Amino acid sequence: MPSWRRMPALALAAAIALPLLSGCWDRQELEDRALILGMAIDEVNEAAAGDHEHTTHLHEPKSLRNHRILVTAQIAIPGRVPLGPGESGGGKQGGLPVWVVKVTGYSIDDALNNLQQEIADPRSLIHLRIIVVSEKIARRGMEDINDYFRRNSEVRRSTWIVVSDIEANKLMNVAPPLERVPTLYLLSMIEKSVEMGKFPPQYSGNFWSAESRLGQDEFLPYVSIRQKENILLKGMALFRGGKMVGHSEPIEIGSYMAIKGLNPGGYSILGDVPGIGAIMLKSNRRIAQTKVSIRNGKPHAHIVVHLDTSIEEKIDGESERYTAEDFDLIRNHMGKEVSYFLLEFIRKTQRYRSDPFGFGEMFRAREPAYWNSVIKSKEDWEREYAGMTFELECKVAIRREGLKLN
Amino acid sequence: MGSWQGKSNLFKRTASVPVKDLTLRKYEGMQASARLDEMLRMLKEVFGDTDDIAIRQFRIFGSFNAAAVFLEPMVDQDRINRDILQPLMTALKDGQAEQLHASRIADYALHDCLHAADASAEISIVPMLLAVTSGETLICIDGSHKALIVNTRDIKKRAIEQPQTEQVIRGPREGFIESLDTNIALVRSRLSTTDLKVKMAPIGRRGNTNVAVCYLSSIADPAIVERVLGRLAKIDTDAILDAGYIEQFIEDQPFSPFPQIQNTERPDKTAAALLEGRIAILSNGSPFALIVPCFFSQFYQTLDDYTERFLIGSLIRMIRLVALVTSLIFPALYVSLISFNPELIPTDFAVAVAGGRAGVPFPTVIEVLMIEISMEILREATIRLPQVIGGALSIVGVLIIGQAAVSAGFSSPITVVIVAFTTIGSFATPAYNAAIALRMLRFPLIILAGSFGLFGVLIGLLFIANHLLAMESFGVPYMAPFVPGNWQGFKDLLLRGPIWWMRKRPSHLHTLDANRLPPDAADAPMRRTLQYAGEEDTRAHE
Amino acid sequence: MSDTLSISSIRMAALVTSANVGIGVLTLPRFAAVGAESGAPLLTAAGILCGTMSLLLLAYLCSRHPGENLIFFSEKLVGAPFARVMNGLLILYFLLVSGISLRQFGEVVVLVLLQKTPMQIVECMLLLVVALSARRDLIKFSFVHSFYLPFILLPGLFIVLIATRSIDPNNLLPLIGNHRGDWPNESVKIASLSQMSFVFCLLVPLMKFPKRAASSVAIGAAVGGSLYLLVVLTTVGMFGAEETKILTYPTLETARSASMGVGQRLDALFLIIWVISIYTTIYATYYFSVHASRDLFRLGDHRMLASFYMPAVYAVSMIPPNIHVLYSLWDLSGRYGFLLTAAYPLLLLVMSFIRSGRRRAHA
Repeated sequence: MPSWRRMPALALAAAIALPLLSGCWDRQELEDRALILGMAIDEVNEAAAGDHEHTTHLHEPKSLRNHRILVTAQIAIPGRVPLGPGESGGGKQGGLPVWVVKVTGYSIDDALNNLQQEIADPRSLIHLRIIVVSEKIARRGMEDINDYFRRNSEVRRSTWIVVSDIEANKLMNVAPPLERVPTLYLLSMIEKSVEMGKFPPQYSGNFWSAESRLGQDEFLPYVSIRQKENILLKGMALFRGGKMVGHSEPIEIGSYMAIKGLNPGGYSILGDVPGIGAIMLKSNRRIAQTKVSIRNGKPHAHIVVHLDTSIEEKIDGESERYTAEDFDLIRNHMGKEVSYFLLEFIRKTQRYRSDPFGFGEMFRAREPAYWNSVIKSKEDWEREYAGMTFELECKVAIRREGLKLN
Repeated sequence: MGSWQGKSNLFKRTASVPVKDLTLRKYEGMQASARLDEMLRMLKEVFGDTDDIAIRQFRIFGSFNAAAVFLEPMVDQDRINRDILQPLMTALKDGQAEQLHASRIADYALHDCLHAADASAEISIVPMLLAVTSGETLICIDGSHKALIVNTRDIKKRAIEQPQTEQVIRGPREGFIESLDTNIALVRSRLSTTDLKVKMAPIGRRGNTNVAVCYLSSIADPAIVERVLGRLAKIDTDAILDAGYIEQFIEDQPFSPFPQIQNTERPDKTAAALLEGRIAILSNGSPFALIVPCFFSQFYQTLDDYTERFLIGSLIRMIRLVALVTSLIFPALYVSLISFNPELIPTDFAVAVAGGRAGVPFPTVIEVLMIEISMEILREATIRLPQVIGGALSIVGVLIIGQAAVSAGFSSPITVVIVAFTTIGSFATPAYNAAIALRMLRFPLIILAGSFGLFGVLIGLLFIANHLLAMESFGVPYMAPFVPGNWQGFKDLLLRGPIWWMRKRPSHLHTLDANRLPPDAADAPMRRTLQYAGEEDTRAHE
Repeated sequence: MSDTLSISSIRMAALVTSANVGIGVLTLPRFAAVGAESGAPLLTAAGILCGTMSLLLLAYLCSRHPGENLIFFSEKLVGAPFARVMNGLLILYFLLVSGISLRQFGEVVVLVLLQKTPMQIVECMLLLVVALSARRDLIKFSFVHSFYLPFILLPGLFIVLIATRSIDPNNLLPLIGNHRGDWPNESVKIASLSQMSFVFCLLVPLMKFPKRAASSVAIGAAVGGSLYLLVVLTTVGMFGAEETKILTYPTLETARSASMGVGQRLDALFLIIWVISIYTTIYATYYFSVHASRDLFRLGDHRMLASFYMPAVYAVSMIPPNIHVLYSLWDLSGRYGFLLTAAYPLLLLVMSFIRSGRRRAHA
């Protein structure tokens, strides 16, 4: 072909080929995605459950028998959640602005594939904010759950994983009038607890990091429902060896935060001070110092906790205006009370042989000789932790007493 | 480039429009004849078909035959009467007439009699003909080879007023007009120094448009001046109807969307550019002056930055820069966030946006492109309309199109907001040619965003940035002073430093005289600041 | 005209920094944690120091021969055949490095940003940008690097600063890790990361002050190395060594997690800076191969080579069938490549001393 004829021919070829090469493989409009906002994972009642779909297998794998889980997914329905504040009345057109779908499966991925068989839009976990796991599943072991969510590139490490003491899918239905989307209400409850100082920021990322570490055991928020509409933060779910072994009381969350020195402080302590009456102190700030050492070949920790508190309430009004000695009395007494609380919690975790505080990590960091020789795996530390000795002092300082002087 | 142009027959052009004026070619190099009737015959041959030529025959000093030739619409007949005919038609004193020979009369008239400031004598025919066509009067004298040419041009000009395309809040309200002389006068009045050199030349075979190149000889880099003059000399065209024609002939990269030559209607901006070491090109018939070399940083700088105080100038300049950048990437970012990477939007907002988009039948890319194109059509339409209708139409048009499109389900409300915001941002860019460049580049970015999401936007931006980094304007890098970095240049790049702090001229222009201010220019203002309400103050009150 | 014909010391330092900060940003914390557990920061510092030493060697060598770049004066120092072979090896090594970097880039983009797009398209797009910009001359090359440097450094520092909030000091102790690692091998691997800016040896002849080449390279490598160190510090400090060992792309997780408290989605910012930093690195290594080939084969200009090496780099990037083979290939190439890029300039420097000594003796 003479050169002058080649140019337009090349241009034509390029023009035809260009649309074939151009992209849009990944174009998925926002409203065409099924955004799963929250998930609940429960055990399956074998008798009541129906036949399982053969989406990922023909015969159930032997190792996974009796391992079925029920996944409840809350999918946001575009169009029902209004953009502005003015349309909140007409927003909930006779129902929740989310779509709740239940599927069963042998593992998370199996269940999600079954889910995809049932719904039209491609599922998308990019906005998965909260995962509720029932206690039964947590006690059975969360290996597969952890693995799936860690591998998936869509799931962020700022997702919350929460353990519920009743069936997890019941929490998915909680929809108080304050919030438009139930999942987001649950999420905001936990987020605001963190802000108020009622729970440490234990996102799934921290959960997984703790699981990898040899010297720390992971924990998760433990919640329940009260009166069908309110969610109660019931404590910390403690884990050992990847399985849940027990839970703490709500005040013990405060103990945990005090030992770790986490702020802002949000828990109040009720104590009976002889001579003054029952007093409620609210902790505003916590400072903790932990020194670890080895005594007689056994790990030992010396913990000093400082609490900045303010007097919130005095029950049994007996005394006149406070004097400085009264304050000292309150402080010393409450200091002893708090030390007792804290030690009790530590002993509880020692009974469970679960170390949520991460003392093991401190030994690994500061006493490497001991650590390298004795601890080879996580079980070794859990065993050693049960025999650990503690010295705990708590110093309470009362900074404010409000607008009333007695 | 030359090799393929030679080989392909497809691109050979037949010269259907001869570029050179045939008439002039015929008379090239010829000298005028001494006989008046021959001259008149030649003039009738050249100008015979035109009806507005006037040939006034008269006698110089009562004894020599002569003719004045001029184009009636272009001359001021009063001046011809007063300055040419009157002095020449007086009788000489007795005794002088015999001494004068016909061949010397042209010199005598030129040096002793004519009361005209701009007059000369010519021998060659071609300059004589060109003089007549440009409004000057030709005086042919019987018996003399030389003919006289007197400038009697009088063309009505419009008044000097604030330029429409470059309005400032604080600053002079004068703008260039179409007459080259007035424009040069406006520049000279601001720089009354002997250093200001103006080089003039006519460009264009049929237009013979006067083009003037102005520069300050003590500041401008001679190499750049050479380059400019060289490129101008190579222009071979019919006529220069506007400075924009010159721009397209001499720019470095005709295929780049970004302008490499700045244009302005303001004489104060031109004077400031000359003081920096740049060169201004003015052309007759165009109120726009071209300023070379040009840099990317000029796209968001205006005169307001300099006439106001530096804090105000800096902050407003930052806003303009933000507007410029958003007008380029905002729609593309929106498309990529909604269609490809919604995980980068906060959850509450994502769910709500999905709700707003629920009824729209098109993918985001198509929707954004549709609204953008309608916005461009609207913008183009409002330029052509007269002011009375245009103002109302733009508001009504935006409201109706936006609201109606949303109600009809064509687009989601967020898209309309984003596109409106982008359009407003592009208006905030002071340089019109740069704003168009960014508007143009928005579309490939949207298409890339619609194909590859955020990654596509980044690749597109990489392409654009690399293109800008490699571009040069008359030998100076386009992205100066950001790259190559230069501390003094940074003082005026993103923020505007105080006026007594910017002591040097831009170094990338390689000016001959680098210092704008003396080295201690910053002392007095800084001393005043530091001693605020101190000793100096009290002394002033005494 | 000095600005457009020569390179200032600051621009040279900027070039070295922006070429060094590249693929290591995403995966370096994992390598360091695998190598030394909680001693990862120290290991990184050791590796960076190693790499900087070898760069300084090269810079000093080049400043002793102003006016000629490495390809030319190496032929004078060790004889033409041997020098040509070694230079050819260098060119091949950097083509290999470009291909591996391109593949790693493709893997990350396909995993995180665009899941369904074929990796070939993603790689080809970046390769196209690199090849098109490789057609420019050396001065424009330095412009590009110094232009993009603020876009890499400032967001990177911002993310690191925000992540500092969540660092737990216990994760970083003990300083040398709990178990003995193979420090020499691992630090050599990290040192090979800083060899990406080898291309500066072609630019020393164009510097305004060639004698200052060593100091600008030192500054540039130090800044780039500090950014790497900060990244490793914050990542290992946030997650702990054990978790970092199993994360495929630890820095991405750091960017995602750092947004927990302040701001929501910082990983968008992180992806932007990462794409730009990979682009500058691949540009630097690719440009070295192209420009050095031009000098080696005594060609007129390198524009044709810039287009012709594209398929080679693309082929290299497609060789590994999965990510594990990719990382073992990178491991190998890092170790032996560092040997090449460190020992060869050392040899040249020794020869340079010997020859100048002999010249002085004869004079």
